[in-house]
Amino acid sequence: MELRRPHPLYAVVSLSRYLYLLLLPLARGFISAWGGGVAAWLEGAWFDLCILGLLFGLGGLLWLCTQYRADKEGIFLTTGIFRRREVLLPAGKITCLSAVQPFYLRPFRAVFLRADTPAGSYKRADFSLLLPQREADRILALAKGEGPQSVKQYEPRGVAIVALSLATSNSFAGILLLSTLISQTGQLLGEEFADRVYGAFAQVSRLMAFGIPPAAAFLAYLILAGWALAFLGNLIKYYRFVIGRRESSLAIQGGLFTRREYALSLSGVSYLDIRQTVFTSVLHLHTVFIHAIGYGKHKGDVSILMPACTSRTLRQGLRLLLPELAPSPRQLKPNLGALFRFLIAPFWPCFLFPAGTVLLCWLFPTWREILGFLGFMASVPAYWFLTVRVLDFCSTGVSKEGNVYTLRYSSGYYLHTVVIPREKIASVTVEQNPFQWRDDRCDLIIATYGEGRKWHRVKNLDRRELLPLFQLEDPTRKM
Amino acid sequence: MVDFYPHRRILTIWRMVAAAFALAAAFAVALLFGQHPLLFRLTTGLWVVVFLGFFVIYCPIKYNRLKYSVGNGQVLLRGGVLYRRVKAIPLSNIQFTAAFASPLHRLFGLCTVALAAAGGSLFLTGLTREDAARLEKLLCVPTSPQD
Repeated sequence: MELRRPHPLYAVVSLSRYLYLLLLPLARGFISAWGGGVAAWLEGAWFDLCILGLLFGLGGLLWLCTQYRADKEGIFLTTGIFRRREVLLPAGKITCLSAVQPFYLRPFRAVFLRADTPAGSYKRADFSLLLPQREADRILALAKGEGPQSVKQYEPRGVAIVALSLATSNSFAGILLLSTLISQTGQLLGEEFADRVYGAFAQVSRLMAFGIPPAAAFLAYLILAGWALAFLGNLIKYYRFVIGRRESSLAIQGGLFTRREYALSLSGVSYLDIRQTVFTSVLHLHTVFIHAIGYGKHKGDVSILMPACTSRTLRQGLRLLLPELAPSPRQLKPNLGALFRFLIAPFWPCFLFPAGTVLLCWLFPTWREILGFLGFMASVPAYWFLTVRVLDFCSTGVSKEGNVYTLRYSSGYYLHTVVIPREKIASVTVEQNPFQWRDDRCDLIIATYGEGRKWHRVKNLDRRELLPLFQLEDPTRKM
Repeated sequence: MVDFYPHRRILTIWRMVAAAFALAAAFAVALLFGQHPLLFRLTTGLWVVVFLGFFVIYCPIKYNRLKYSVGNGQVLLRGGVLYRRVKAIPLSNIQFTAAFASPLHRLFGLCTVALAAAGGSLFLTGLTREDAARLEKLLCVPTSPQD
């Protein structure tokens, strides 16, 4: 197959690696402004134009020097102006192929194609190029494999997407986005604009305080606005989210403004992570994340397999998409005496925050209102964490069915059910602290195979029953 | 399952390291608290207790508990004093091994074998050269001793 060139827009997109050249006109601008003012700056404008010309020239040259070939054998890429580089990714080693099309590339019918293997950087794709849409479609079709369009397909309902967005929207991410938007717009339209927006926000908060201290109301509405923006962003990201299962790969697509399509090789799947929060646990809803090499590692990428679904839908969906990775019922679980261990971590904030608030209110009576509100807001996450830990105690455990292990534990505010095949386990550690010697209990720590390291820790299990489950040593002999 | 045990000489090495730290602590205490009799006695007592704890209790227990096994498709390390551990790495996951020895290890004819795996690693310390070679054969991966 002949070598082809990327999309012509690649010449513009690749300019980012040469942006440091703009430091030269910038430095010249500073020096002329210091010395001779605008006239002096205009005199040397030819230099700035030359640098811009060089920048675009390098981009165009890089496009000319970049060629690729993609077929059943794999992907071959040759690139570089001064330092030539040739990369070959054999088809059998590619675990994830993704096609991302932001809205601004749609008129040009250009798509970012990325390919990943188990080796290479865990922050960047092993192969990334801007291609014409039909080329990206062809390469994706190759990765998905021949045969029927889609053997099995799962499309979550709109309600599930809304529920997922409700549960996973991050307030701080939204606030960051909002502040960046206002600041950047302020820089373009003048600082007065940014001040007006913030001022209007503060005024609205004051009007809608409803008895809450205005400063606290401002903070609350800011968090609410941030969350709403993050919620909207998540809705847009999971618009028309569909997963298809073929013989040895998964095809995932979705997104409104930025369309994303993934071809995931089953051999690259490390484990499934079925997550719940306190909120979704009460509603018996689950969200399934899939951890696979190359999937979900870029900013804005999705790593969801199934958004918020009921237990029944979860079972059906996993039977449809990944019958190899089915969670099994708990076989080993912590004893009642381990409850203290689960609750000790949240106990201190649950005690200290209210006690600290009472003390501060007594020390600073004029600040009682705001201190009381802040103390209450600080205590809420602590009691929420306590609830998570209670639920964790009731659900923690380990089981094995065939060659697949199911681990149940909590991390932060999430309850995890991790389903992992034995061959994806990088190491198993059984650890016993002095407090566990007496009743021969232990913690299980599993590291998983993939880009970067990920640990899963299940607390307070019976050592004698755990060791044979992982075929580790003589279980009758005490450590 | 094939078992390996660290050689007794590793206990001597650990005790020598503990003694070196104790000597450094003695110098530090004499330098900092030489003029204050009470503080001097307290800190001296502290490092003596810590040193004796390591020399008489910690190191022997650590030595007695340390055991390496190869079998069932994995390499196991059992050990630990306060935090007792069993750590296992699948044989198929081991990417390469390396054997290295500090001057003290070389003096006593011992080495440490490091097993590098994707997502984990294991350090088997206190092995003789013969045991390291035997382990290498079992793992079917050549080590690269660094002298």
